[in-house]
Amino acid sequence: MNRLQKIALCAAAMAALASPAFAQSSATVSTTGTTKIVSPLSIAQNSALAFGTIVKPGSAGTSIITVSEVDGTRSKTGTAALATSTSSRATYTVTGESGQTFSIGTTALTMTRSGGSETLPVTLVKSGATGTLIGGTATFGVGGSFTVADTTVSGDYTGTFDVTVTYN
Amino acid sequence: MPARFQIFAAVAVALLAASGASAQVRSVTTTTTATTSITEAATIRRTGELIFQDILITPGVSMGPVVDASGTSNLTMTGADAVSLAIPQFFDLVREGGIETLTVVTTADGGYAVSGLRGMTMSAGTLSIDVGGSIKVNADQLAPGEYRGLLVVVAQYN
Repeated sequence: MNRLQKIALCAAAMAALASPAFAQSSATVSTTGTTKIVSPLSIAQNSALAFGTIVKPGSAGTSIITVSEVDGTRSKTGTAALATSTSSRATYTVTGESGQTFSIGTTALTMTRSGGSETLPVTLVKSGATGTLIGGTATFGVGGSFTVADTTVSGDYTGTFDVTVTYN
Repeated sequence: MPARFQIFAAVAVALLAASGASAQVRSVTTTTTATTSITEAATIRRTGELIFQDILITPGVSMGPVVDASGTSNLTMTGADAVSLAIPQFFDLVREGGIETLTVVTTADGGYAVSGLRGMTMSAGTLSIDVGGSIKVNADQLAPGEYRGLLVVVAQYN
């Protein structure tokens, strides 16, 4: 073996030793990428919130007027009277991806007398904080209550509130 | 702008647009109207008693088979909207200190038919109605004395 051959053999041996060192400096792991595509969420109002006609207390005192968020039943405390009239809870139909759950939110509601500035704050109550889309649809209701006093100014009161549903 | 920056900008705009669309379908809002109507409490006030004319009986003198006496009372209601009024068709007067009775057949003005609960609409928040009555008795069998009774009229909102 001449000198040139010795140098070549030595270089080959070093290269062979160096190769394992290069393999240890590289590592691999597999990662899963996922996504879920769901149908767009939509909401439609089926009925508005109507408390109907209320006869305010004839003497000093207050009454609480309530429309049930569950079935729309109207009730009262105190000496106010519920005059025969149309009343209803607000109801909604939500459509979207079947099996998905959603949260329900409402803004505050204050009704203002038509032609005046008097107000009636309303406490809104939802039939549930969340809902589940069964077969792609779900329904829920919103009721509420307010206080009427003998000093409440007579008239027609109206207000609006927003209802928002959000995928969980 | 270099070509590669133009592509980058276009991609960024597309991503922004996509995120906006995603937010719209994840959460949706609708606006609902709430209403109520507040009305005055109805009141009913009697502005006149129902007083019948005296029936004079002369002992030993027949007055005939029937004596007809009549009178009128007035009721005023205040409130709003439509109300219903219930006036009994009959009510009894009872002799003071006795048990004898006289039956009053009631009547009402304004074409208001007496019986059951009938709807009426107030005009400018007021409704005035006259309620009267008549007594038909066989005076020969009438026990002398004062007769009193109670006519109950009920008003309610429809």
